[in-house]
Amino acid sequence: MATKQVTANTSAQTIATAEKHKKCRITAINVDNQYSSSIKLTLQDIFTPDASHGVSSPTEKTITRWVRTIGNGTAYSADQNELADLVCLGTVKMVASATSTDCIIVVNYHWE
Amino acid sequence: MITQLQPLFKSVSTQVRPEDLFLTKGSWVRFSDRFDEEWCSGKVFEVAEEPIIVPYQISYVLPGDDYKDVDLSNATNGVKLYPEKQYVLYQMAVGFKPGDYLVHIFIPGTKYVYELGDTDMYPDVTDASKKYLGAKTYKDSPADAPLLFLYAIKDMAAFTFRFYVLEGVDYEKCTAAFQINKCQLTEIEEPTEEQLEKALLIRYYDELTGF
Repeated sequence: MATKQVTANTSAQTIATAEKHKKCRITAINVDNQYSSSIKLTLQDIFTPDASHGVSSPTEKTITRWVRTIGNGTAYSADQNELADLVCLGTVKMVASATSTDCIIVVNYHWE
Repeated sequence: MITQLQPLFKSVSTQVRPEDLFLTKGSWVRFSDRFDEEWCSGKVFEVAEEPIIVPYQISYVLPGDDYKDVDLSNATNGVKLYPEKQYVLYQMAVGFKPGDYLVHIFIPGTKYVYELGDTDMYPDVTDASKKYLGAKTYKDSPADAPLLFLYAIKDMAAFTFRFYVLEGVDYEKCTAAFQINKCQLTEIEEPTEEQLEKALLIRYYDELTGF
């Protein structure tokens, strides 16, 4: 299992870089938001599909896999049910609605 | 040729490792006389040296209700898993990682292997029912305990895997894991009855279909 800590940022922060032959299973997301207002967090899965029968020249895709608004002054832990099917195919990034070092996000994941 | 062990095998044979299912030094193989290649057609061989097993994986991210054909041969657009020399047999154990996708197998080109006798009963990814006809999934041959074996020699017709991602899925990563058992062969010029009987018969692809 791997762990990545980032702080809230309107620029997407990399959680895990894609592995060619593996998927990234997110096992825990813990957030401590001590910023002055609530922050909306979005977990993105970014990849370029391979050429297929239907799409000969695919372009990069950004898929939203998880969204949660965390109230100010609160901590949040995503539970097992919420994350049960949270699997990413490419590079995993977290983007926030505000930038603040007072909002800390810790993501646990493993490759499978 | 293709062989597949029963899925039950992986749960009941706790003492058997995938490596135990491979050809080893001293194993006998017999090629069907339908092979065109003179060096092997109808002949019996012994695996001369202890084989070397080479792991390899291929993965494709594909959209839902779409597919990709992957040529396993050494053709320009192939993934190049075939031998380049005569008197070499590649025994490839292949398993699949879990996911919402099916795999259809063809040889050569787009000729189905897993069809039924009726002319309408062939795998068809555009048909709601027949997309599952003959399709392999990770349950048939898991990546960590492969049960599906392909056999390839130099310049043999290409196996093609058609990875099809099920409808309703946005995207899926399809991964096939190969364990390629590289066997060097020595011809047994005058095989005994026992060798003829016990040798693993490598059938030509057109003997796998048509019945």
